Amino acid sequence: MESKQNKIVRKKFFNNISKGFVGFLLFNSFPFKIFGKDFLKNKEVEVKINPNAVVRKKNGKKNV
Amino acid sequence: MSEVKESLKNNLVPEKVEPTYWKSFKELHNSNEFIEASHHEFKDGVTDEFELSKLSHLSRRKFLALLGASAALAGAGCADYRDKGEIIPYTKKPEEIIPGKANYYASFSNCCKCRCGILIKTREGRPVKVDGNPDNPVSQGKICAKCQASILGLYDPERLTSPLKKARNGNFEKISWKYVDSEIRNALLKSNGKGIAIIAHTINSPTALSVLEDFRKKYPNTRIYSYELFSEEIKNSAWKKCYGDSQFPLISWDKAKVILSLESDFLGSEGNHIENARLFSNGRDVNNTNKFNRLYVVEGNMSLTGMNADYRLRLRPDAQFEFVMSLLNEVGRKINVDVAGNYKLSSFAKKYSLSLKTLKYIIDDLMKNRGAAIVYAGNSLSEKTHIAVNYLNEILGNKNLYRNETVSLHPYSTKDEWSELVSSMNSGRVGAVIHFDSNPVFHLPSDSGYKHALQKVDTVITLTELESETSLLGNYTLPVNHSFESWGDAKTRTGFYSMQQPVISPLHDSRQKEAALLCWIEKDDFEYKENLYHEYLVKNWQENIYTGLKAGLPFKQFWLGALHDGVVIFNENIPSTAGFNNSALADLNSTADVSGFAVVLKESYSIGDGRFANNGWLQELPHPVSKVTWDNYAAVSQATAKELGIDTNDYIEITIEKRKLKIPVLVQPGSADKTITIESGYGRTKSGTIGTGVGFNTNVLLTSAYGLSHWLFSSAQVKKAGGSYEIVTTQEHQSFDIELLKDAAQKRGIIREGTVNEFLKNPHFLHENSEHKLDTFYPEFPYKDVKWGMAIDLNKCLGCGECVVACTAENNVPVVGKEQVKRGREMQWIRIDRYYSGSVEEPSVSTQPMLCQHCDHAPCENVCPVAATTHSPDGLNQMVYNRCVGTRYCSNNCPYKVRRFNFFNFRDNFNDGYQLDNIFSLVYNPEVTVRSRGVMEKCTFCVQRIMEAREIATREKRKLRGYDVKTACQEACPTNAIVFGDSNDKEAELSKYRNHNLGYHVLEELNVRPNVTYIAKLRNTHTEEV
Repeated sequence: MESKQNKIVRKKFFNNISKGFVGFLLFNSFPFKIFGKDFLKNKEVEVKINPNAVVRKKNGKKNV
Repeated sequence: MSEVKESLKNNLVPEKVEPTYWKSFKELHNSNEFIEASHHEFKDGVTDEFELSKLSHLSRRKFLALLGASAALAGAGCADYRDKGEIIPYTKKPEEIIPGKANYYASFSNCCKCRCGILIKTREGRPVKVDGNPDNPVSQGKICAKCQASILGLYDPERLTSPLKKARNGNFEKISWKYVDSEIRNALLKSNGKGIAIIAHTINSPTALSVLEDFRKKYPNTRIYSYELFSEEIKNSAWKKCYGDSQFPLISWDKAKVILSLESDFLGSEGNHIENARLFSNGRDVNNTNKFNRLYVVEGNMSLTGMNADYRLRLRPDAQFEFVMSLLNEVGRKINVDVAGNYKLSSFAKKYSLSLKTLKYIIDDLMKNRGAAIVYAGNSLSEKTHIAVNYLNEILGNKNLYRNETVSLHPYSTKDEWSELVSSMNSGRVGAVIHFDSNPVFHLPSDSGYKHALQKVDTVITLTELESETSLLGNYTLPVNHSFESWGDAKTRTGFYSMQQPVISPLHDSRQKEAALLCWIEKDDFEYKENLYHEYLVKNWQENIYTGLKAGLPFKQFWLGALHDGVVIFNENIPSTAGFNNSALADLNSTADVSGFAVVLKESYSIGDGRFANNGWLQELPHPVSKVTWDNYAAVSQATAKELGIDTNDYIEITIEKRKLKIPVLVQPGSADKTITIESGYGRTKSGTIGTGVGFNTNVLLTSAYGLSHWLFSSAQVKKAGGSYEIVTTQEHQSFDIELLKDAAQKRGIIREGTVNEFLKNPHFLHENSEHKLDTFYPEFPYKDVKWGMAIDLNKCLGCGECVVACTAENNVPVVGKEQVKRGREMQWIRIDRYYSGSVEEPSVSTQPMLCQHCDHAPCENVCPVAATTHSPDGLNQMVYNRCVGTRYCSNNCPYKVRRFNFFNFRDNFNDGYQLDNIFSLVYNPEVTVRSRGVMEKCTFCVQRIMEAREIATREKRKLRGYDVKTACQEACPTNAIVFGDSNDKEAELSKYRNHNLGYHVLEELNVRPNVTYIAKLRNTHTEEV
């Protein structure tokens, strides 16, 4: 039979590791933003070539 | 500065010998400040004082603690806070895209009314570089600096991203296009009883004109108004009086043996200056010196054209009429033609202190070259001056140099039409105004009342890329596509159409402006689609244009071919010039008006009429004459400055009738006395982060009731206004510091010149007293294959700066801002050094592009402690950015001072990270490293283009040839002054220049063996003396 103390230790261990994991997830995404400029200003930009554009080969002409 | 003022005040001859070549007044007068500054390799402020408020409020201790705590977690997460997501290859690759290979698309640019043909280079679907379309008959592969920089406009972070509507509190709020269309349709229908005005710039698209016609059919009370801040309006009206045709012809500059330019900057900013430069430079071929043309320039302020003159006279612009009449009288006497007035050239020369000898040369040359000479008046001159010039050309028989190829699809609005519009707006008879990508509130004269009248119109719609002074006063501000996102066509000349195609889908929620109008013609339930204008364009071409061309091909094939080439060339009759209408000569009986100060407004070389004010590359491009960046100024002569008791940076107040302007002064050598010249386009109040508040708005001086012309004013009052403003120029950067070598440019042979006569008499004159090849203890390296070299023909180089912008665009050179330019930290890899020689009043100007010389025995390579700069087997001086630790010893050792050091990560330093924006980052050329702080950079001879050519040669199993590579600067140069290629190839064009009698190396005596050869400038003077 496991002692009560061991159970408490185990419970604390899993509690702490869960908190650490949550902290890790938060820290990965959150902290740097409060210190620096907001470089991640995401403007919704989609770079898409126009499907109707007609491409042209650049001739290898003389460079003079 | 005080020493210069003192010497100006006392008219003292400086104790030390004046240099033969000088770049500025400080250098000319050997001011202590200049000498002190030149002793230091880098200017003050190398270790900048940090502004504490801008630093993060984190102590070092806290930071280290956090760093320690987070290190493991960050390491475990492996997450870069800049991580923008995953990159995956195409799951469905578009057919023509090969990752890593560029695609090119032909189109034209909307930068100005010239509609120059361009080739847009795209990488993985995004445009990265613009160059000229070689198939375009006008530009022939060359474009101006504004076109080159237009790529930055596409990725401007401050472009409007969605439609905006003005709320009741005066702020603009986002609104969807669906509601915009519905509201505007209702507003237009309601205002149909009243008028609708569409205000546009030059309309030279047949299809856009068709859209406007369809709009007018739907809303019959619509009127279209067209304008440009700078145009040939007065020249055209004079031409119409003389010859009956409303379009002034083009000039065959290549056929002109003698050119007399009167207040005209035809090489710098007037007309299609790229075409003008190309044609003019055909008469500046050192391999054909017998056919050198001769350029006389008579102007009020030093211009780019004036810098390249063989003879230059300074004359206030409002005296040009009297000058032309004096010439007319003189020529008339010689050829027995009656001319109005009793003007005498000798009296005129005495009155305005002009060289009679030079004036006699002008007359002699015009008489000897009748039929092959041209007298050309600038756009800012009065109508009667243009009539006089037309008559002078007529009696000299110069008509065969005219080319009647200009086409105008829609005339500019007249003064009466504008005043009628304003009056209608004021009286409530205009229900809606649509600004068709125009900014009349900034451009139109304030006394026209347009700005005030606009506020009385119910519905004001502004279609624009960026917010502007006009959009602020409107109800709706609607984003339009950039020209690289647009379809279009243009007809600017006889014989061809230009075609425009988009190379990228619109980055924002914008529309093509023509498509917006098409949408408002339709009913309420009409659903907009992105290819709306494309379909309209194709339909217009198929029904109206294609049938007339008789192409002999099915339409689809014809259309794809037209888009592929970017032009549709066809036979079209060119009308001949009619006979001269003598009734126009009645205007020549009026007298000349010359009093007070003359003030002339010119179009800015870099930002045009202000529409490019938010373009950092163009703001930082040094002015071709004064090398000023980030500002405009009032150019005055030294004598005028002395009279007013002012110096460079002092404010003056200009008053023309009741209109006033306070602006700082730059004392400009070669400027005429009592003449103030100012460039327009600056002083924007709403233009984005870069353009707002830069410079001074000269449009306050404009008036609708002009006298001489829109841009030329006589009888102005000018006085010192008190206070000063720092104008930043690059002209003293990289100057020699040895007092004994104050005319270093001549003694050290940096600038070498001669005359055509001298060269014809003795082709070896340049090297007669030169030393023989110097010995070296370095072993010679056998460059077996290609050895890259460059030649720059100073006869063709105009000093325009197109190469500077092209290099900036190609090589991801950062913008640093005015403050850093002041400290000599401009980052441009190529600079145009400008030297004056001769007197301050009538200087001669020499320009010289200076870039890394890729020396065989480069002094920078030996001193790098970490071998970050090395030499390649094909002759390039290489830069390894990730080895560089920033000692700056290489720059210290470089005699040409062409190395640029990244004192900051300029991307986050300039304007609080403006260049770090996600969209801005799209402008970077992926083939070139983006350098960070602490790293030295310099011209690489476009090594990325060399590598690309090498790859192609390897794939094709052949040797790399010198002519396979064109550097960015070479490609951009409108006069083909830059030649690049293989020095080892004796058949190549480059070898002809490297072995030319006029070829020399700068600072050859240092024995660093530079690989850039300069061809000495020849002035086509009557004597052998320079």
